[in-house]
This record gives sequence, structure tokens and C-alpha cells, in this order.
Amino acid sequence: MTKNQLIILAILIVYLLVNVVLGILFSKKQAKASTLSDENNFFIGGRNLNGLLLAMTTMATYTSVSSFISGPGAAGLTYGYAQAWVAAVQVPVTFLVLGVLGNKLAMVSRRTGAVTVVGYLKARYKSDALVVITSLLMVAFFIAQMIGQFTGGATLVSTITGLDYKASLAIFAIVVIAYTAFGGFTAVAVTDAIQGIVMCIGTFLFLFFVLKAGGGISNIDASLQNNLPGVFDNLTAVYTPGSLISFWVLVGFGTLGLPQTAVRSMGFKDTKSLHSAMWIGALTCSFVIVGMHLAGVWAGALVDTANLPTSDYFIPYIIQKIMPVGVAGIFLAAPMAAVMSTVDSLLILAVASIVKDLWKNYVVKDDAEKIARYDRNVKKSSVVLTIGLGILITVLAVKPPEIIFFLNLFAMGGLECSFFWPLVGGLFWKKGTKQAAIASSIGAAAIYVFCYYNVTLIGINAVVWGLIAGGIIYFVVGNATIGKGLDKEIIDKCF
Amino acid sequence: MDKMSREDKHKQCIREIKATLIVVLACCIWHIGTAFTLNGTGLYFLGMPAWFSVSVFGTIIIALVGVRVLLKRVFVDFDYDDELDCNSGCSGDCSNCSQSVLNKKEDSND
Repeated sequence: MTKNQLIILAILIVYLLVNVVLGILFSKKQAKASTLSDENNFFIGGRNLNGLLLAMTTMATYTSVSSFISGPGAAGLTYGYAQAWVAAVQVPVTFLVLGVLGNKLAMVSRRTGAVTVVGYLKARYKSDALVVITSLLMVAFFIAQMIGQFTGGATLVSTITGLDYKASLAIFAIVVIAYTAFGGFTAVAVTDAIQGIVMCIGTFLFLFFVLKAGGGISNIDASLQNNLPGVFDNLTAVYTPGSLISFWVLVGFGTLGLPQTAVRSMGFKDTKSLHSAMWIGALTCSFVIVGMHLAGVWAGALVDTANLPTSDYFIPYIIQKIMPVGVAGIFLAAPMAAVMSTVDSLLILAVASIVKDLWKNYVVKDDAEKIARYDRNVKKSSVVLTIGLGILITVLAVKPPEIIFFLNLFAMGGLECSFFWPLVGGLFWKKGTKQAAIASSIGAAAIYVFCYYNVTLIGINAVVWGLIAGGIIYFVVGNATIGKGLDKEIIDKCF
Repeated sequence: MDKMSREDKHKQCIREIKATLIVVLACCIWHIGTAFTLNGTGLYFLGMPAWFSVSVFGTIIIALVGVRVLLKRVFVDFDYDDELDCNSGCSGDCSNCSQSVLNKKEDSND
């Protein structure tokens, strides 16, 4: 390791420790002040998030390592402005999710005690099949996504600091598992807020230093003409129009179906927190996502990059070229923050789903004695399960099995297809029956995977067909099976 | 903060959901519409190809102004306090909440 690498590594480690300490500290404070049950505190932070925390945790969960490394790297090396244009689809994501799902999920989850999106689906449809299908799908996809994030983050750290891949992975894993297991949802939200702020700082630094190194926007334009001729300034040079518009479904409207962002709507304190989070979320999401990709495009003007193996190496490479070493260390905390803030949220939701949606519903059931034992032990068993699942993911991330790549390929679209209609349709349509939910959940996911391999109409993404089909199935089956209307309890609690 | 019945709250939520979707749809239409119209014209704006800068910065402005309007005109404050956290042991008045009364009975039997 060189001296510079050591300095960067030291900054990263200090940053990681700050996360662990603050995360656990705040969660202890929250649990002390709260009068709610352990289950409620651990999985949803006592429903106590304020506007800033809510905005940051939603934004940070959504922005992953790809928003900092792969996306901007691809913009600089291959796609030019078209990639940054695609990224701008994500500008409304936070306020879309909070504005559409926020109030309804906040109220229904309070009425029913739900702490996960699957918990909401259970209250809304009263269907065991739906609970089992959606929670198993969710846990499987989450595990794949967490492994993807961990391998991305560890590769990044090892490329930059020269540290061994396994050691880099271990650093990440220990930190994330520690604060998630011992601090629960509050630690996840507090660290997400720190990480969100770090991401904003990182984006600012990247924009600033790229502009400085490029010698201003007109020089950058001239160099881009040179490095990416005919591509950088043409929207449809690499992407087809169909694939461009599909992004509005995949990373725009479809994000309403992502359980990891939707669950944030169950954790905030009151309507005031929701409203300020929509504003803060719109500001920070626009700045970070568009800022990083725009700077990525501009960075394409800086160097001849023919020697890089893939575009994932582009951002780390350029950072070390244009930033003083201390600043590079601070910038690199941003993609690490993006990895951690995504993994922690997926980890806690996967554990919540296993403990609450599966274990409590199907093993503990209604037996009073078992419920009492569950209530006594829920905190302890959740901590143990978080550590166990975290270790499993870390071990798998050392050399990810083939199935993980397969699952990751479908993770985002698959989650959107299986959750979108049961969740969004269920909020407002009183004819949405459990048959409709199950049929659309399975149908949309199946059609998505089928179209992924078999339908290539003008480059439209398969998730578009999946969601359209899911919507049709939901409304047709709902109309056909509604009979005399929904159960009175469902109407009472969910509308 | 207003006291609202569940039905009123549901109606208000639907209003908020529709308005949010309209703002996002406006972003979507501007983003796609301007980009495809201006692409290939060779125009520049703010030192960048106009199809990019007009489309993306316009989308951000529509989103930010849209959220301001939503929060001022459409979204209202109301209380969640009467939405009891039932089967997870609520702290407040649980008289309306059969599930947690049930849990308490079980506790006292222990």
C-alpha cells in the first residue's frame, strides 16, 4: 500500500466507525424514549422518523452503488449525455413514493400493527398464499441485491486502497451488520441520513473537481467531441427510443412497487414529517443522481481511457487523478455510503419479513403461550437472525454463486412486478380481492421473465409488459371475484 | 390539526395520490417530449446539448415547483394519533383496540 492509499483507507475507516457509533447511540436513545413494543422499535423505529430522516433514508436506500460508480462511469466512457438524461428519470422518485404511499401506509400500518409491506398486504387481502409468496420472493431478491452491493463496494475499496478483496468485504460487512443488528431500524435511518449527507458532499466535490480539471464547460464540450464523437450529444446514439422511454417505468413509476422504499412510509411520525420529507427528498435526489451522472459525462472529457477493463473502474480511476488525496478519501465515502445504506435497509426488511411475516404468522400463530414467548424474545432473535443473515451474505459475496447473478438480473423488475399492483391497487380500489392480488403478483412476474427472453419490440424493457399485464390481471380478476364486496374488517382498516 | 373521520382521510389521501401522480406525469411528459423534440437539432443551452439541458433542468424545476404546489394546495395536516398501533402494544388509550386489550389480559394471566 502506498502512503496515499493508507490515507484514503484511514478516512474510510474513521467514517465507518462514526456510522456504527452514531447509529447504535441514536437507536438506544429512541428505544428508551419509546413506550412501544420491541418489535415495533426494532423493525420500524417506533414510527418516529422526522422529515429529514425520512427523506434521507428513502433517498439513500434507493440510491445504490450504481448511482455513484457504474452509472456515471458508463456516462463518461460510453453513453455521454444520454446516460445522465436517463438518470434524471429518478428525480421524482422520493416524492412519488412518499406522496402516493405515505399517508395510506402510515395509517393502515398503525391500525394493523404492520411493520413490513408484506404485513400491509396481509391486512389488506387476508391471504396466506400472498404473504408466503411475496415474502419469500422478497427475501430471495434482497439477498441477491445485498450480495451485488457488497461485491461492488468491496471491489471498489480493494481497487483504491490495494487492500485484499476479502479484507475489504469484511470491513463493510462487520460495520453494516453491527449497526443494523444492534440498532435496528432507527440505526438504519440515522446512518442513512449521515450517508445521504455524505453522498451530497461527494457529488458536490465530484462536480467541482471535474469542472476544474476540464477547464470549464466549453473546453469539456470540445474534448467530448474528440473522445465520444457522434455519441455524447446524441440521445439515441446507443439507446433505442423504446428503451429510453421504458426507464420511466423501471426506475420511475415502477419504484412504487419496491418494498424497501415503500416500507419507509410506515416509519415516520406525522403528516408534517411526510411533507418536509417530500421537499427535502426532491432536492437531494435531484442533486445527487443528476449531479453524479452529469459530472460522469464531463469526466469523459478528461482522459484517454482505453486501458480500463470496464466502465466500473472509470470513476475510481478519475478521482485519483483529479482530486487531492484527502478529498478523494471523502469522496469515496459516498459510494461506500450508498452501498451501506442500501444493504442495511434490505437486511432489516428481510429479517422483519422472516420474523414477523413468516415466523410469527405461521409458527407462533394464535397460541397465547407462544405469543408471550415471541414477544419476550423478538428483540433477541431478530438480532441473532440479522447477524446470521449478514454473515451468510458476506460468505456468499466472497465468490457469488451463479444463481445470484440470475436473481440480480431480475431483482428490481421482479420486485416491482410482484408488489406493484397488490400494493398500489390495494390502496384505492375497493374491488381489489385477494385472488386479484395473487394472480397479478405471479402473473406480472412470470410475464416479465418471459418477455425478458422472448420479446424485443423496439427495445422496450420487459418490466413494462410485466406491469401492464399485472394491471390488467388485477382489475379483471378483481371485478370477477368481488362478489358481495370485501370483508368488513378490511374495509374498516384499509380504507 | 383537523379531526377527520376515516372516510374523510381516505378521500383526502386519494386526492393527494392523484395530485402527486399528475406532477410526476408532468415531469415525465416534459422530460421525454423536449428531449426527443430537440435531439438532432444541434442547439446548445448552458454549454450543453439543448435536448439534454432543457429536458433535464426543466424536469427538475417542474418537480421542485410541483412539490411546493402540492404541499401548499393539496396536502393537508391531520392526526395519526387515533390510528392505534393495535397488536404491538400501544401506549395510548386502548379502549377501541380489541387486540391489545386481549394481549393485556393474557399478560395478566401469566
